[in-house]
Amino acid sequence: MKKNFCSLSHIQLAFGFTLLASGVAIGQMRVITGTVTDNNNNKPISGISIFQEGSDTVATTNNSGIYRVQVSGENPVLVFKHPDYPERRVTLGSRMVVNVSMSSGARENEIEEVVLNAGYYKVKEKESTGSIARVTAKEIENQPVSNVLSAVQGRVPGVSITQNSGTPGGGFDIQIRGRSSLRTYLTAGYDGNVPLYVVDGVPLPSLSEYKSGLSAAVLPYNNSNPLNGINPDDIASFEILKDADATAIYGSRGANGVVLITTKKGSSGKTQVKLNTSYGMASYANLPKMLSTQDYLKMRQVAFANDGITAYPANQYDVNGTWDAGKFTDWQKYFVGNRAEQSDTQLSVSGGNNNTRYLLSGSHWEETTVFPGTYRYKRNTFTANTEHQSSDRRFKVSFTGYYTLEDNMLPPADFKSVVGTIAPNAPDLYLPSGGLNWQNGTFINPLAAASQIFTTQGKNLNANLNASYLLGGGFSVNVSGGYGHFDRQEQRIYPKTFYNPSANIGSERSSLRKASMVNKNWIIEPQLNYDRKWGVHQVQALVGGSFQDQVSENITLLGTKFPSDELIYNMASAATVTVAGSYQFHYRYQALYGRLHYGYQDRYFINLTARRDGSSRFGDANRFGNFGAAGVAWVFSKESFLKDLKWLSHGKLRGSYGVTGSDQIGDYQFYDTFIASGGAYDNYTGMVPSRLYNKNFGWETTRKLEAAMEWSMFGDRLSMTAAWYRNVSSNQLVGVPLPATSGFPSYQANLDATVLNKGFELSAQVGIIRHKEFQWNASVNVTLPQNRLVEFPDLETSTYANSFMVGKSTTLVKLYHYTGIDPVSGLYTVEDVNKDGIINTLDRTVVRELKQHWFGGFQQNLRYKNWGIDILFQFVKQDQTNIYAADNYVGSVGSRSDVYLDYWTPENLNAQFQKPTAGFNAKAVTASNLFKQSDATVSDIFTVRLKNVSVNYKIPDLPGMKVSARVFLQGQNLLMFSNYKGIDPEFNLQGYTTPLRVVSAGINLTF
Amino acid sequence: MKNNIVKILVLMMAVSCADFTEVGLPQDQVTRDMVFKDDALANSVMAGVYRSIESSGFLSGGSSGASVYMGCYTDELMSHSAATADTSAFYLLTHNASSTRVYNLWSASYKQIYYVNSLIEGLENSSGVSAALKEKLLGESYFIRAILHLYLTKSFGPVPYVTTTDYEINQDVPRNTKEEVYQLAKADLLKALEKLPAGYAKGARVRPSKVTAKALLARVAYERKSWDDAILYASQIISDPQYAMETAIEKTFLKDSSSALWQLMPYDPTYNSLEGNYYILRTAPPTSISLSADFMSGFEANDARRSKWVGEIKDSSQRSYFYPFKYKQQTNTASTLEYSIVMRVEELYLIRSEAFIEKGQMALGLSDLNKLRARVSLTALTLNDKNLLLEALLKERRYEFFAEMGHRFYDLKHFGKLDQKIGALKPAWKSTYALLPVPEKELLINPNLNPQNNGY
Repeated sequence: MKKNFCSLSHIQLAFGFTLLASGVAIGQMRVITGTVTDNNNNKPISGISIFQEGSDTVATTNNSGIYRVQVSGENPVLVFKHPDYPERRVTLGSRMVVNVSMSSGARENEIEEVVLNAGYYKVKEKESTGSIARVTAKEIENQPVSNVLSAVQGRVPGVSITQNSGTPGGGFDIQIRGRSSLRTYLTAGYDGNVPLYVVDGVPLPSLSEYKSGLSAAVLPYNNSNPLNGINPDDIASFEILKDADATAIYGSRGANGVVLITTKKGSSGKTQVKLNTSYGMASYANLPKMLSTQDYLKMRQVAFANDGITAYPANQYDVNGTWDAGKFTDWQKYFVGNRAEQSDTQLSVSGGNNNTRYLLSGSHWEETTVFPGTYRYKRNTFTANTEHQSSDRRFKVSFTGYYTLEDNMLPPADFKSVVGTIAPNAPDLYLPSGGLNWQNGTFINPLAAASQIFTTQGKNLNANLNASYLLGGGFSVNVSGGYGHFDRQEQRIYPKTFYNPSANIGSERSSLRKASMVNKNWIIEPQLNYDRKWGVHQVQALVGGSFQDQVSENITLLGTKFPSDELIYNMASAATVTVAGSYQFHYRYQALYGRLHYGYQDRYFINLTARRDGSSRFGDANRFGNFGAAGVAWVFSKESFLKDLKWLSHGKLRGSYGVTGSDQIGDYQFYDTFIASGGAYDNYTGMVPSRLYNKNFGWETTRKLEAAMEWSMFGDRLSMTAAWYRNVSSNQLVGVPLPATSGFPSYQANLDATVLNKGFELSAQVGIIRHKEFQWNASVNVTLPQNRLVEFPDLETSTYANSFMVGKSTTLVKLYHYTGIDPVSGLYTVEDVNKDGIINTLDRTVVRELKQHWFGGFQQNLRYKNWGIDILFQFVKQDQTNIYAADNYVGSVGSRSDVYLDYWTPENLNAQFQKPTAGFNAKAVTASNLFKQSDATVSDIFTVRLKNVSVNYKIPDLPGMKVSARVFLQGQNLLMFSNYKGIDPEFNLQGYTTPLRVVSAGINLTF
Repeated sequence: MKNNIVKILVLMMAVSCADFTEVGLPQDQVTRDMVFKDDALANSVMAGVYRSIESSGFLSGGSSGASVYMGCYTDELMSHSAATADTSAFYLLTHNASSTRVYNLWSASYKQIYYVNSLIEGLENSSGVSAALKEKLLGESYFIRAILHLYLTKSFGPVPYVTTTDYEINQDVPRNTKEEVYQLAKADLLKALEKLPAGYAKGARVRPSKVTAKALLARVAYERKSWDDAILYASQIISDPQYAMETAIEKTFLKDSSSALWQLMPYDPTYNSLEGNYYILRTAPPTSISLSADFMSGFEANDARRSKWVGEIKDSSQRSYFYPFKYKQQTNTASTLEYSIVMRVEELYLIRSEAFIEKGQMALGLSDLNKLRARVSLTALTLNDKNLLLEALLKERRYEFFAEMGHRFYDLKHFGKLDQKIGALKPAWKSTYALLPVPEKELLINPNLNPQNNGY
């Protein structure tokens, strides 16, 4: 029986309520007039919007700064708004004339009323019942990063961000209050923990359903991040919704949190031209010292001796005399030790009048890699934004179009992985003639493989149109529509230069792979709002609908046999073109959502949100789901018994509880279908079953509970927030694992597993010095997260037995217990826990959780006259996999860090590493493999990182000159203090280049 | 105005809400019901099985099939790759229960078995597929189910014989004894024999036929030492002039080979076999695999296979490396010249020869063996001692089927010579290596598969 989406009682309730509210009597009316001036120069300001709080009649100041507005009710409050000034609120009392001065310069001095963007509505921070973290443009701007997430790292409590790679174009791991889903790259092939990204009201496609696989060796998980296409300097505000109160209105997509990005808008006044440009240099920091050839060869000789091999095999060229034993190349320096450059230029024009404003902006970002070669990433962005409002301020329309071109050219594999495979005495890469050196076929030249260049071209359009109309009586309607078009073209060439020329392989073996991924989506969200304040009552309500359609078409073509490698980029030149993969996905989503917010005496607030979602990713019986939350807040500082406490300027207790969900499992999983497997056989296209069929799975749900206290003291000099949260995710949509004898490794179903995420978040801001010419602010945030698998039926017998354990974090590893080096054999030993004489999975009993125990950031902002300095330290206490888990057995071919010199010999019994083996001794290889799966490969570490330093100086305005200029110097990942064994603990997948150290300088000019 | 806007809004929310989230199927998928309503689609599903068999699992001639893995495991091939590479793990005997390559052989086979079980179930319940096609596809499915289980049991010992797609059953199936697997495979083969077409012309033997089913029945009989059956089935094929040994042995692996019983087509009509692509060395020293010194030193003088089926390449210091050169095409040609051979008629001569010898009919046994030797310019043997004859047969198999479908490993096992031959060559060899380990993952998730094979 299909449930009817429309027969919902809560719509009627919401409408009923709003109609009732509009009938309330209005009360006594009077007219207020006054002048608004700028307190810097005492000049009048035009275009200030003035309205009574809770009313929708808006007035504006004229060119002389004069306004006239009608107010009603007892003790009305007037709100003065202008994009260039902080909002001001003035309590009228019995006044009829109210002159106001607005300050634009030193905002820090003002007790600014922060208004948070909650997506479908806005809320004053001091009245908010939910947990919404905000990062402002000021904190993000000019940082030498291409993705805003790099700039947000360490600034927001409860949010852990890891940059997957230092190679441009890669992905990020972002966890908002922990991992709630068991679907990770390891268990499901994709990550079920990504938040919902919403840019100007348009959700970005959340799940890349198809991956070409062409970039897997250079970008971890073959992944990129949807925010790569957005210039961080175009972002006006960045909000992260965390708790149920804030996310339940996003229903099924709110479980992992919501990231809201608002791009910059135009401002009225005279036309303003801004030019930003900067240039930076980046390098791979903390690289270890490598073994010398002499030490390396000695290790290899010992290895062979240990394996009982006296005559070096013919193919062991590094050690058998074929290659020069006196040659040394620091391959680490050669392959990842280069200097990368980055440059950023942005030009924008904005202006307008009181009714219409516009912003046009274009930017160019370019960055190279630390690899040898001309690999680079380029990004061009274009933004157009216009806003218009009718002269009676009732009708408003705004349009934002954001267009990005990305062009990335990378090697087929991260060169970091090459270093460990090439001996320090390997021959030169190039012949004197310039060709690749194969050293008579004894040298597999890594640059030959590197000729399989990978390129990506992205074209992203994100357009949003928002129209609103004030109906009067507190009612307004708005419709938000968005269209997104994401076109990604990936390409990898396989030229003949891959092969040793002596093989005489020509272009007949050359091939070209082209993958095209096109995603088109539209969304339309009509919404009815109600906002009213009378006396001590304040009501806001909204009800809206959401309709979304997303179509993605993906195809990979393989062209082989080219007449010449000159033509390798042209698919038409290939003699054979085959379709290596072709997939279409259609996703549709609809929702009905509502919110009711009630405030009493500006002291007690209650916020109810609800959403009913339907998703095409589920079968008929499970298509719809209900989500909702309740949040309450109590501003206790306004209570009469505390009102007289001078030192307490603001104090609030808040709490929320609610249910959110997730449908991130990919499309069509409930159909029993066959799919083309690629290729034909005996004249018929091959088709195979797509999956094990199960249509009865439904929504994954996360129940979120939060309690928090916010307070400010000494005139807001010190403000603090402490929050406690507890999120329980159940009904996990993870593939239920099956043995291979079932034909497929899993089938889709709701697993009765429960994941708990709970923790504390603390943050504090201190205004240490608040002098007009000198300001010093500091802030700190700390998060203590806890992630635990609470329930997992039949875990012991499932394929997850080694990945999960009830009562432990979902990121655990089960390891052997390392018991040191055997003094006789010189090999690593691990504990045979069950004493059965065999070392196997049953002995992997040491459980280590690869988790963050606590993390946070420490920020300092100093302003002195024209100088500004911002410093951000990021710190984390975590358990992380160390270098020993990735490196090959001691004695294998390849450059390695000189710490491995401490290997076992009969003379060095207390060595750190076992005796070298050349790979011919199965016992030694096995011992090394066991060691790599032992608890010796996980370290408990503490890392402090000087994440960002920014110094800027505003050049004093010259009389008569219409230019204002600011120069800045920025550094990213400048220093790291850590007891980590390895290069850098910031990674999700080992073996790739980690984030780089960047120093950049630039200038901002405003005309 | 206000009321109108509200009305529009309410209307918009109500519009098409019931069916909005109903999306059709994508253009690249069809439902099970549709597949078995239509001859062409049913053929496509069978084609999907062959594509999978050619590219993965035991029967694939590429770098991840039994040809390469089991060749490296025994004394035929040597791996030049890094000690951590797949081929080296088999060559150096550093494989274990968590090796991905062992898991891949296991899981690819069961996936292919799932595919044919899905076909069998679909066809049996179908009314839309024509009767003739239904018979043919059912026959092929039974045949494939049998051969895959046979490879599994020869490699892993007792294994589950899976005959359904129901994961409720398959997720905790126990292992069948080797004897049971052979019985079930034989039953499937007899069903296949009934349903399959009589045979195919040269160049079109890309699907199993009655002939292939008989050949596999002969192999089953030989492996179970049921000598009468072995003679019965082998004779039926040997007497068929359609399936003659190629006297010019360089033609044996061509697409039009008359000795082929079952071949696999490459992915594309211009591609050739995966074996040719992987084995042929273009540069020396090799970086992948080559024929082992032990293998090369055992050739009898004048053996035509030494000159016609073995390739040679020299490095800059004039050191020679040898590679299997049965398949001559490494890359594309205007149209496919070579198919990968899964079974060929020569095997039946060797099966029948052994059967005759085991039954004491030495002359007949010698005659079959010498027919094979004659075509490769080797003199006729005149032995009469059973043990010597069996030794000669094992050697003949070694040089006839080197680098083909893992024959060497299964032959050594059949003759009980694994420890003697491989043990002498590789110090790391253990008797328990006669079986591969059951993948650890499988034991964990399905404890009914316990115990693990000895020695792992």
